Amino acid sequence: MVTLVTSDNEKFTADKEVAERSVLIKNMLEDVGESDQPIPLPNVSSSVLKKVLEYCEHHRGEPLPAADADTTQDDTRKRTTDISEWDQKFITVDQEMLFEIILAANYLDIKSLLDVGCKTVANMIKGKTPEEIRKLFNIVNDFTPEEEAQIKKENEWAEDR
Amino acid sequence: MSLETSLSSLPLELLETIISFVPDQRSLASCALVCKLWVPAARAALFASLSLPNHFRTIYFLNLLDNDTPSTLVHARIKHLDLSTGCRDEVRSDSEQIITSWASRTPTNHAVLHEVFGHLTSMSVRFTAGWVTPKVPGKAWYSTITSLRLEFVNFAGEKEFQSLLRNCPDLESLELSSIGLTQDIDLESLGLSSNEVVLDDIDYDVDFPNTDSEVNSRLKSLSISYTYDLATLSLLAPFCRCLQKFEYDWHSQQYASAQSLPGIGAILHAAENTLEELSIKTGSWVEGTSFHQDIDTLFETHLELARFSSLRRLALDISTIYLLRILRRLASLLQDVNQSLYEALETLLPIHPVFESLVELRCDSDHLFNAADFAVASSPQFFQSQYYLRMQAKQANLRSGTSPDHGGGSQPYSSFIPFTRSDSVLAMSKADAEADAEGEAEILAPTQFSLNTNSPTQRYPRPGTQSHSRLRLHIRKLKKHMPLCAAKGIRLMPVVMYWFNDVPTGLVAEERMWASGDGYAGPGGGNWKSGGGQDIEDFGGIQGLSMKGMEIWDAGKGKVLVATAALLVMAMLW
Repeated sequence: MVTLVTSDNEKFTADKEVAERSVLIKNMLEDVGESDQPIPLPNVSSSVLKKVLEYCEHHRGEPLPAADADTTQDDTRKRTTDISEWDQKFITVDQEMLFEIILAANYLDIKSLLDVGCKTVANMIKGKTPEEIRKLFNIVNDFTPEEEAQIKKENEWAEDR
Repeated sequence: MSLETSLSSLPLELLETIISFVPDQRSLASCALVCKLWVPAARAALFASLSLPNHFRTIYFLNLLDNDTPSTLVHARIKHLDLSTGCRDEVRSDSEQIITSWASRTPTNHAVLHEVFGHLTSMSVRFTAGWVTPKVPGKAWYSTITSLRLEFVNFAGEKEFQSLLRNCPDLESLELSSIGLTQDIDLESLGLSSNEVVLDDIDYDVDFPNTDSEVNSRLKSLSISYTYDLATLSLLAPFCRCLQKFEYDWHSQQYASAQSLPGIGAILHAAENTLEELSIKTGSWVEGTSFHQDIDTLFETHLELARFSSLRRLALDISTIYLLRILRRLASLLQDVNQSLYEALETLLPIHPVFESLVELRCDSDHLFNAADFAVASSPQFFQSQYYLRMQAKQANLRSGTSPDHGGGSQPYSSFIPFTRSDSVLAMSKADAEADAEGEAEILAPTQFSLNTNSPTQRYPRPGTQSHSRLRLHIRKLKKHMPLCAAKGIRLMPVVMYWFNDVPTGLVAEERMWASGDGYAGPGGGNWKSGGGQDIEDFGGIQGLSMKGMEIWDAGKGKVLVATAALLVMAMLW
């Protein structure tokens, strides 16, 4: 068992196999060797770590992507925005939690979870107008009218092929 | 606002990942209009690969760059550029020329273009009447590319071609098909500056000086087809000092083809120390003794295997009689010319050191089959669906009432593209293997003949058919006549090719067979020429010699070649 300590000082214990789905934790454990020392995760809050561990628990035993497979897998990875049913349910959370999970997955280096998170955001963007996207994510339009016109022109050109 | 985590609080790299997952172009276009922060990622996702298929699009593209408001295309990090026009009719709209001359107009243009194409890694061009390299060497807007494919591209003279190669110092892979050099064009009169770079006169025949150290090329893979011009080939030689893979295909074009031989020789000579894979293919259609004698001479002077220390794979598709002679020369053995092919091979292959690591011998055995047996024997999906497509194309032709030679006829031919393969290693069915096992020692284990293990498609004729018994006879013969090979564990691979009856050139099948390389797996199919009734004593030509340690040809690359072949034939049909 591995003990993890969150930013708000809560302790979690998890099977080594589950915790090691995080490459960060895996590397830490390898560096430390056999030790009962708790692992501090100052960038992850307890509510988020709970979710992350839930994800890792569900996917335990599944093969981890090879470290060097990134580039070759990138293409196939990008082509599909499919998310499995369980993952979809798992990731149905409010926006704040969604981005917290993405940040945590990035920090803990859990590629599959990061992909699920990013795909979910991509699916939220899909089919929306720029204004709708801005509204959805609370983004301010910082383009000058000229810049906007130029991009629109480029978009028209791109579409008209 | 609170300290709530939001999209804006994600690091930029994560925003990029998210946008790269956005699936459709329209949404990506919207992303670019969200805010400035989103522009680079949205542009990179939308324009990673850019296609400028005609001069209207090219000119519009340049207009977008030519603006008071900076274009967001500079953020796109365009990786691949496709300048392939759809057909010959648009030859005069040379996109490359338009871009190059636009770039040379003002320093700003030049700078913008270099920014836009600063990340370019590959470019493919089809149909260009006159390639014009930028005036300043090494400053071409496409100078970052590592991979270049040219089809039906003409150069106004040797210098333009040379200068293109020099303008791409990082080039690793070059595919040339139907390249033309228009000689004796006065470049100055065309208003084009001739380039400063001039190679010393190359002695095309014998002596290829290694002193040409100024050429610092990284070219690793070179593939040439439909290009017979000696000058063009000779120009390439100095760039081939670290070439690892070379393919040359005469495409059975009889005319003027022998004249290219010294050029091939020059390339081989330059690549002597580094060449790992060599594929020379004349096709069995080529007739004319002189050509083959020339090929023989080429091998005599330039292809002494001992000199190619890195060679791992040699593929020769040459008419059997000449191939034999070449093989003997390769093995430096003088054999009785009257020996049959398999006898000669049996003598040559296992004993000579050159062939020590030979693991596989592929024999052409399509003549053993007749079409009907095969059609029944094949698994349904691929074979029938592809055949069906072919029929559809024909019917469409009939219905439209146009002959295939005219405009209307060209469209249905495009449905030929689904044919992806033309050869197929025969899959020995389990039952057969068992039946055979009772006989002599087993050369042909079923696994060696199975196609893609995931694929249920096994191309093996149904037991009881004529083809089936022919194949078994054939395999028995191989075993019987080549016991040494068998003892050495050299696999004997019967290979079947399909021809397309009504494609006049026969090139489709031919090219595909080579495009598929060593990848036996995958669906075969299409129309074929039934060779039933021929003498089963006939062994056909050897398709290739695979040396041990040879890696299977890159499937991706294979596909590229397949596409090329299909397009070329289509073009010829017009």
